[in-house]
Amino acid sequence: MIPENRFIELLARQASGEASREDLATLDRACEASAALRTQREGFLAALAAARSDDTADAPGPVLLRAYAIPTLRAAADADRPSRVSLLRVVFDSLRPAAGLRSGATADRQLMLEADGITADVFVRGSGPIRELRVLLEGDDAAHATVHLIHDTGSAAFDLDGDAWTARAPMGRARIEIRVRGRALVTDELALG
Amino acid sequence: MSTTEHQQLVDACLRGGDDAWRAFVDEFSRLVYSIPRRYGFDDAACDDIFQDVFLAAYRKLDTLRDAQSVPKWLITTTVRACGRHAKRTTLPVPPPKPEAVGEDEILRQERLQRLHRGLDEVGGRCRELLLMLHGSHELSYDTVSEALGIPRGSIGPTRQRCLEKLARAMGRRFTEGI
Repeated sequence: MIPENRFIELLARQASGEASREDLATLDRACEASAALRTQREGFLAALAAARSDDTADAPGPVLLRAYAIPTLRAAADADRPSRVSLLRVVFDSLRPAAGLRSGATADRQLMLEADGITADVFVRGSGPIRELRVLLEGDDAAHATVHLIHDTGSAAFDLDGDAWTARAPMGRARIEIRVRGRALVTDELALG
Repeated sequence: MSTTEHQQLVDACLRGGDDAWRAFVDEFSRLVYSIPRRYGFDDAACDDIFQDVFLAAYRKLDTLRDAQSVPKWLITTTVRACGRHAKRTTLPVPPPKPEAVGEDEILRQERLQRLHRGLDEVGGRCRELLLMLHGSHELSYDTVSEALGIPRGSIGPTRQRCLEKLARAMGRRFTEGI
């Protein structure tokens, strides 16, 4: 049985190309006698060989910090999750302005949605890869509502800008979710661009 | 970390420890982050893919506990996430489908992941010296001497000492698997 220190010393010598024939023979004999040493030798040398084609990179600090926060964010999201969900009915969906929709003449797509006494006018604009969304809410509980976008790249809250909820999102498919007093009012999946 | 230690880490995450989750992210961050980089995604997309993969891992910790290889699960999940993101952007070469990533490539990535965890453990000047001498640039002793301020004559013995430290650090990583 080869002492551990001796095995490590010879292994390091082999890795640097400094091992003599005698060193290599000693390593071979040790590895024939021990599957664990054989595995360690092969793994170590293979890892160093892989380093020659190393194309890996460290994740930047801010990226790591976001990933560290996933349990905290998930816990907050779960606590905030509404217990009742309703589907927002599409009252109107048009590419042209229509009576009953507010200030949407320049929108590329306009929708009027309704559920549980809340009405939402949705305006989608933009021709590049990013779409701008604007949502106006009306109804008894509208003042207590928040608006969220559930996109296939992730979810995000809209920002309240005056009386409109606004968000930007990449092209793709998304749902709009209105959360109000423990309820969620959600759209079917909508195509953004 | 060995396969068993990966499972223990997943168990610790399931018990709800923030420290365990940080350790999980640290253990696999380089492995996951490097994949979208390799396929040519920009910084923002790499960031998004990284978050998608770790979010998926967090949601599927139960599945991961029973996975034969956590790195393999993460590699496959990352390649799949790259494929989804590739549909929204233009890359010089599209990423492969997960099933097209061969066992050899998965093995290579697992080896690099273990190597870097070993190098992190060794740390300091040893880490720098080994990366210079054994990394993709394969620098000469003269260049390393100048870069690290080490006399040329002592690079050989220092390299031997650093390789021994690395071999010890990685020793237990190879007791199971690769």
